[in-house]
Amino acid sequence: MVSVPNVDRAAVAPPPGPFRSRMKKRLGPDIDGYGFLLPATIVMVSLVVYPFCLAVWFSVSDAFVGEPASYVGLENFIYILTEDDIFIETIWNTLLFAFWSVLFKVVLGLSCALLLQRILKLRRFFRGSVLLPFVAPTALSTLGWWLILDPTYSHINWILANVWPFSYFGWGPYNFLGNPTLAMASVIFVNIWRGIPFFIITILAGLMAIPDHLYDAAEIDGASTWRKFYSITLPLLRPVLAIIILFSTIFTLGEFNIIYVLTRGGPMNSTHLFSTYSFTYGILNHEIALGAAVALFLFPILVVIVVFLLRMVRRDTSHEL
Amino acid sequence: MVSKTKLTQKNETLSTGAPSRRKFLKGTAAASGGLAGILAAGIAPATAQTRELKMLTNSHFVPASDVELERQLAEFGKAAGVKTRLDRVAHLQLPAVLAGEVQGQKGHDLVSVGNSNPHLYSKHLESVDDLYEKIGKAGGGWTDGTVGKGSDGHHKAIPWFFISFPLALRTDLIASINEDIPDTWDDVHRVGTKLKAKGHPLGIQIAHSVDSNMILRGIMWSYGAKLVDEDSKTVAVNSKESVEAFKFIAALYNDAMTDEVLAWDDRNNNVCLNSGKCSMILNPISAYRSAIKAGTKDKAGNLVHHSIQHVMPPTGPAGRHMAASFNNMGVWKFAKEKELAKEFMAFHFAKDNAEKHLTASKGYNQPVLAGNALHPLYASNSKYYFAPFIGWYTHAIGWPGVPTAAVQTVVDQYLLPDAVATVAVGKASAEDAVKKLESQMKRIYRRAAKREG
Repeated sequence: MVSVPNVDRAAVAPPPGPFRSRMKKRLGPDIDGYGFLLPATIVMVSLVVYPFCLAVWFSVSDAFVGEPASYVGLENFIYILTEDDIFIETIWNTLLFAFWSVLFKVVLGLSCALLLQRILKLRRFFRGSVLLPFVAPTALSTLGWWLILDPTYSHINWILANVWPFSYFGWGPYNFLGNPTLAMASVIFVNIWRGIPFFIITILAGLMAIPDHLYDAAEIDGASTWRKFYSITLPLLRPVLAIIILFSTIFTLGEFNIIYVLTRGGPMNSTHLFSTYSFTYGILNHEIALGAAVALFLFPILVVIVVFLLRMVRRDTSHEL
Repeated sequence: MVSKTKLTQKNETLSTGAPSRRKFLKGTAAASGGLAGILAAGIAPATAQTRELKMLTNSHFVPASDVELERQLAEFGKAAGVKTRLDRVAHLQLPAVLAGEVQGQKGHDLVSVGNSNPHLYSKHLESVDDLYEKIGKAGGGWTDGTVGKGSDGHHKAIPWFFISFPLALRTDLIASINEDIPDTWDDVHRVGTKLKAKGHPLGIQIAHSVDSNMILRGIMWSYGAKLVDEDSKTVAVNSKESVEAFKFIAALYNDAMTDEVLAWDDRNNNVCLNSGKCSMILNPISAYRSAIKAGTKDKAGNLVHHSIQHVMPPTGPAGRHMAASFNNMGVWKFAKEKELAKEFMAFHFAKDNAEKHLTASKGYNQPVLAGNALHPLYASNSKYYFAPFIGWYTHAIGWPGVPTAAVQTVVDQYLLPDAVATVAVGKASAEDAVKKLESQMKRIYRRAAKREG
C-alpha cells in the first residue's frame, strides 16, 4: 500500500501566476467555482437575460420594423392604456381567462389525481391516457377542437340535435366561437383540457410522496376522509400546488396557440389575450415597440404572483414535518 | 510507456512536416496579396463566382402556380446564366419573414409583397416606376393605379395579381323560389331573406377573417362610404353613408344570415355553400373549385359545382365596388441582384408568361393588367365570365387612397368587422359604432403620421 505523506497542499501546488493570484485576491479562494459557473452564466445571459433586456428596450423605444429605434420612455405604455380600447378589453380577457383556467385546472387536477391514486385496475393505462392532451402538439389538438366547435358543423351541436337522450331536450345549436361569452368559455375549456394532465401527474407525484403512516395515525384517531384530506393531504400538497399554480399561471397568461387557431381574438375582440394582441402589433402591424409593451404589461403581474407563491412555498418547506 | 526512440522519431516527423519561417512568410504574403486584390475589386474570381437570383413568396393554394413560377425562374436563370431559387413560406408566415429580412437587411432579391407592404417597406424597396410604366403600357394599363405605391408616391412594387370576390351562388336554390340572380345589394337582401326562411341563408363573414375585411369594405364603398379620403391620411368613416351601410349590413345579418357568420374564418363560407346550406356567399372561385375536386353532390345526387355560378359583386347606391387582396412583386434595396430581379419581372410579366402563370393557377391569379385579364381560360367556362371585368370594380384596401401601413393596421385589427358586428348583434347603434370606429382609426392614423414625420 502506498502511503500518502501528510504534506501541506499549498507547499506542493505550483505557485499561482500573477493574473491568477490577482483574481484570487479579488474573488477569494473559490475562483475555480466561478469558472465552473461560467458556461451556465453565458447560456443564461444569451438566452434569457439578453432577449428580456431587448424586449424591455423595445417597450420603451419607438422600434418599428426596419427603422432605427430611439428612446421614448413610457410613451408606449401610456398609449395602450389611455388610447387603445382593445388593449383595455385584452387586460380583462387575459385575467378572466387565466383565473378560470387555473382555478378549474387546480380543482379538476386535484380531483383526478385523487381518483387516479385510488384506481388499482388498469392503473398504467389511465395514468398514460391522461397525458395525451399534454403530449399532442397544441396547434394540432386545437385544430381538432376547431372542428368540434365549428360554427356551422359543430360535432357537439350535431350530437345535441341527433343523439338520444340529448335530442330529447332540444338543446342547441350553440354558437361556441361566435358568441362572446361562449367563445371565452370555449377557449378556457380547451386550455383546461390541454393543461390538466400537467396538474394531474404533478399532484399525483405529490400525493405518492405523502407518508402512509400519517393517514394510518389519523385513521386510528378516527379522522374522517374529509378531515384526512383537509388536515394531511392538502397541507402537504401545498408546496407542489404552489409550484404548479405558478407555472400554469405563467403559461396560461401567455397562451397563444389556442386563441390563434380557434378565434383569432374574436368575436369582437372578446378572446384577445396579451400574446395574441402583442402578435398583432409586433408582427402584423410591425409596431415592435407596442407589441413589446403589450407583452411586458404581464411582467409586473407575474412578478407579484411569483413572489407571493414562492414565499408560500418557502414558508411551507421551511419547517420539518 | 513511450520509448525514447519513438519519441525522437515523432519529433523528427513534426519538425520536417512544419513549414520553416521563410516558407511560412512566403505563403502568407501570397495569400494576403490575393485576398487584398479580391477585396479591392469587390468581386470573386471568375471560378468562384456564382450569381443567384433568390425569390421569396408564400405557398400558393394552387401548387401548380408555384411550379410554373419556379419553371419560369429556371428558364430565366438558364438564359441569364445564373442560378435561381424560389423559397416559399406559409402565407401567414410571410409578414414575419419579410419583417426579419428588413430588420436584418439581407435575404432574398425578389419578394412577394401583399396589399400595403409596398407602402410599409417603401424605404427598403427599389423604385420600379419605369418598369411599372413599361409593363403597364404593354399590358393594356392597370385596372387599379393605387396598388404597389410607396409612401413617397413612387411605385415600389409591380402589381402581380389579386384574388377577387364575386358573388358565388347556388342557382338551383335561387330558382326554387322563382327569383332571378341578384344584381344589387337590395336584391341580395330580398333573395337572401326568402332563402333563409327555407333554411338556406346568405353567408358573409362578420368576423376576424380576411374575407370579412374585404367584403364589408366592398359593401361600404357600394353605399358611398369610405374609410379614408383620397389623400390616404384623413379618416373619413364618420359619414351618413357609413351609417346607412352599417344599418344595411345589420339588416342583411338579421334577415338573411345566421349568427354563425360571427365566428367564420375564410374556409367556413366555402363549406357552407358546397354543403347546400348556404345559398350565396362572396368568395373567390375556391368554393367552386373545391366542389369540382371533391365531386360534392347535393341530396338529390347532383354534382354541386354544376349549380354554382359566379356573378359580379352586387351594386349599391354608389355603384359596384369590392375589395381584394393584391399581391405585388418587389425588389429589396439591399438585394444583391437588383438588376437581375428587375429583368426577371419584365420576363415574368410578358404576356406569354403571365398567361401561363394564370393558367397554372386555374384562374385564381387575376391580373391587374387589363390586357391580360382577357384570358382564354375565363372565356372557356361560363362560371368565369365575371373574371375579365371584375378588376375594374375591385380596389385595394385603402381605396380611394393607396393601401398604407395605417390601413393595414386597421385591417389586421379587424376594426371594421368588429364595428359592424356590434351593430348586427344589437350591442351598439350604427351611429355609435361608426363613431367608435372613427376614433379607433384616428389613433392609428395619428400614430402612423407621427412615425412617417
